[in-house]
Amino acid sequence: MVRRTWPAAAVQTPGFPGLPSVGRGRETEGGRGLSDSDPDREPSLDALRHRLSEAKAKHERSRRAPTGSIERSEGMAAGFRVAVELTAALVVGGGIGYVLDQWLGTQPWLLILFFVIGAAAGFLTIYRTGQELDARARERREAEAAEQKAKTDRKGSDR
Amino acid sequence: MAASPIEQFEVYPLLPIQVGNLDLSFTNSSLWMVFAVALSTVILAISARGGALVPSRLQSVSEMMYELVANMVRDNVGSGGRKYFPFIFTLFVFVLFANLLGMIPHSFTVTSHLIVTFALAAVIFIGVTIIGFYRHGFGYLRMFFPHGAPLWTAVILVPVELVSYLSRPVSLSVRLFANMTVGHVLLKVIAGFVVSLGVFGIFPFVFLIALSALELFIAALQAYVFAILTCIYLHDALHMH
Repeated sequence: MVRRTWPAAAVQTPGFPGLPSVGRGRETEGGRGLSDSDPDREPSLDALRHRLSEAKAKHERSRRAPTGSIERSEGMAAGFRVAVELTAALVVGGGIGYVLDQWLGTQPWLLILFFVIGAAAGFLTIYRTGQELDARARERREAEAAEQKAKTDRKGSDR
Repeated sequence: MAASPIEQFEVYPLLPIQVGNLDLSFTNSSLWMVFAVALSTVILAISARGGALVPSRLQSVSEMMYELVANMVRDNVGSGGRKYFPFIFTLFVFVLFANLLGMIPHSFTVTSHLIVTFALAAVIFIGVTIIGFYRHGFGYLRMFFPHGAPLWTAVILVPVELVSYLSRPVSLSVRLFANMTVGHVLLKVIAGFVVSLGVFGIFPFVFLIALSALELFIAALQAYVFAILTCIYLHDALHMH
């Protein structure tokens, strides 16, 4: 099936000068190459690999495209996480201070002290969260770079 | 007129049970918890029964959840995290189903009540602390003092670290609760606009559709965040930073 339709498309495209745009140009190139060499034989592995990598790239692009909004809401979640962590540390610090004050009768000194400690704890937590998110983002970037590199390597070996 | 946007959070007893001074009534909240547990059990049981090499849709959903949590535990807990996988998985699936069931109109969102999420977070917090002390003995207290800092800084650092540690269950529970509550209030308020604006209600209606999609995503994301933070806390307890 594929063998039949494939050279046909390759022959047709040069007929319309407007048509062979970005994706098409390569297709015709590969197609003509294989029809020129031996029209009755199976498409060579090289041409097949070429088409496969092209289709993969197209698929990858369409898969990547709609993640923009998801990435944005992931960023929103990270921001929300940091905000909640700061507030939680302040509330816990203030709560401890308030309870100790009630217990020891030292209003308002322990509340003030623990509020400050809570703020420090909040910033500490945020700092750690930032480091953790950083590490995760770096990991993701590295994984993506490795993937990209593997892809270009594969393309290089095609030629 | 549109219903009050916070009416949906009302807890009422379906089956009043009174033991001594304790009100142990079976409420609508309990009912939806049971639904979450039952539905997840049924789905996982059915999808695991086939065990086909080429999975059906249901089976691949279960496998995706399994792989998600398995990767999460492997990446975030590190060595020795394997045996806590069942707990993390149960936690993730329960929160996920509770969140998603809450998206059904007229249902009740279990996780939109602070006491529910706080109970979950408290169990995690106490469990993780026990694991830490069990693993490291009193050495676990070093957790509250960074390695290599001058001794006199302990006066400042220990209280700060302690408060930071104690704030974990609060931030864990508040995050889930606030996300679910805010999302559901927003949905109800916008839905109220749809009704009250008449023909022009089409605009908030379009927005409502987009918002519902976002809320579905947040429902899944928050279950994921809840589970991943549990993993991180567990990692701290097992390996101490």
